[in-house]
Amino acid sequence: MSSRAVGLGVAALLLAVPAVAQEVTIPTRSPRTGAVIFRGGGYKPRIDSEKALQDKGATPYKDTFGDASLLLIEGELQRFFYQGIGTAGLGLGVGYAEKYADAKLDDGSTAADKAALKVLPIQLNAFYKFDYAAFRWGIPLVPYAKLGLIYSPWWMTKGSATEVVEGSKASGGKWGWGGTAGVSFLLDVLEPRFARDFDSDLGVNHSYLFAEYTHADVNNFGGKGLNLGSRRWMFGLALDY
Amino acid sequence: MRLPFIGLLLFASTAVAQTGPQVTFTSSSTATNNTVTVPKSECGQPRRFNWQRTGSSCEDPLYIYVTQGTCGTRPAATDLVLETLDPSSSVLNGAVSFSVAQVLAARGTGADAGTAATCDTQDTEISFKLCASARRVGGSLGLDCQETFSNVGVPPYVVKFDPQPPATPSIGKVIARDSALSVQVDGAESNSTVIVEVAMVATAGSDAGTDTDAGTDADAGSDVDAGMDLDAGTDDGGAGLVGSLALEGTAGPVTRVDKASGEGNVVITGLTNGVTYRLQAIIRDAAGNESPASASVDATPVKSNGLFDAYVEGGGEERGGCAATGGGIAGGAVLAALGIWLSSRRKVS
Repeated sequence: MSSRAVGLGVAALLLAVPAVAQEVTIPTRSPRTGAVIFRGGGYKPRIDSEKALQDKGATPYKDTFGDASLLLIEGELQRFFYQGIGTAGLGLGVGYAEKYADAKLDDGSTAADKAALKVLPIQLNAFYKFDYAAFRWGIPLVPYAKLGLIYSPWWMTKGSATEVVEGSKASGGKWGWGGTAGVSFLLDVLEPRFARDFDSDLGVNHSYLFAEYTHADVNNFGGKGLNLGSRRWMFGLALDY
Repeated sequence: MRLPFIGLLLFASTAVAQTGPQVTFTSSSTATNNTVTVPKSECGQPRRFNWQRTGSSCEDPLYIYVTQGTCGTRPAATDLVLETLDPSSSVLNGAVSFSVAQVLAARGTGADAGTAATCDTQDTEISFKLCASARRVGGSLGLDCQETFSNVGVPPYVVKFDPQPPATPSIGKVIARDSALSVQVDGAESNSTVIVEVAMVATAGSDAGTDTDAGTDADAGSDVDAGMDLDAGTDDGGAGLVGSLALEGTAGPVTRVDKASGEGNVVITGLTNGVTYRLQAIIRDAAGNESPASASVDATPVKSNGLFDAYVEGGGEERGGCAATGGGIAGGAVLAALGIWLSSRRKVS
């Protein structure tokens, strides 16, 4: 009789423990309204692909910087307007890239001055990311795509001043467009508990590492002059909040 | 019983608090940590200090004076007394002014043999204190006039005479840049200012002395109208045209460019490529003394080509521009987008 009572007690306890545990670990997700993204990568503007330069066989970018790329650092804010089978919205990104090299004397030797190209690309884009599978089935990969309008202020310096050649100041801005495709890895799967704490403490719902490829044509939509378009890989961190 | 005691205590504490005068000095001169540094060139220039007094001295006057010794005594014969206020004086504020030359001269007036000096003979650094001294009321009950003088002046201003010019600097290196010269000056002490004077060399073949030609001039002097831009040399802050007093062997105005020591080369901008310029360096110390000029050096700015030069030369059709318009549109779009985003944000963290 007493052993039966003990057995019933143990069984009741075992039933109660999961119930208590479940009550404690129920995730309390905060609303998900947007994302903050930080990315970096090599940016090699297609300056030498300008037709007028190609006609004369000139490669000013390569002559100045060789095959090196600029280091582009970007930040982006996204706002989600659709959350259903995937997520869609608008993003606004701002970046900065610069590259220095020795200026050249007329005989081709190295001058004491430094020449530099500086670019500040600004992008407004629409995006879609297929995160349904990640949230519904736990597949931690999220493919996404973006299409956007780009405006790139640029300036070239020599020494400490903006270059002026034949009366033209080496600064301006170029319009263009860009498309991006990439895939994000959902970091939550590595540390689910940490991810939940991140959400409850800071409101960050999900964290991702991503790699993306961008095709950008920034030459005033085929107009004359500088081509600041590029084909580039970028890598970074995204935080949904 | 307790009430009279408290009343007595309050009375006594008030009496003790009224221990005598206090003089507060202010100065319009540039002072670092209440030290006014005077260069040799300003030895005879008076320095003005304002003072304001509260309270009165007892029995002896309140003295405002300058001494090489310590404050808080009756002024010595070798001190320069600037103001004497009797205990009955009602003057509560005023101004005193004195030059280092006066203080140096006063040192020789005493029978106890201070050594008089002049601005020319005083060749080492020397400091003087601006003092206010008076006898104060004190004692156990706070009612007795004290026997000794006390220092009643605040803050403790010091006038430091620094007659020593910095050592002669040298120009270590001149880097020829596009429309500019970058000058490395050696021998500058800390907290000093490096000054580089530059002027165009008169003509090819003219008297250039024995100066070193640090430039790569190919056709100096052949360009008839080559000269220095009048707005030359603003890259390093303190710069400017100083008139037509030319360096030896040069023509046209002399431009001075200055820069704090320890901040790298002095860069002179706005020069004409292919024209030879003569440079000399001077150091000005914190007091304002200027060193003798260094040996002069000649150098010639050379044209260099940056990316835009190569681009234009290669036939590129970009000529810049649209930054303002396009940037304005883009900037406005950014701000508008941010505003919309922020106003519609209803995040709950």
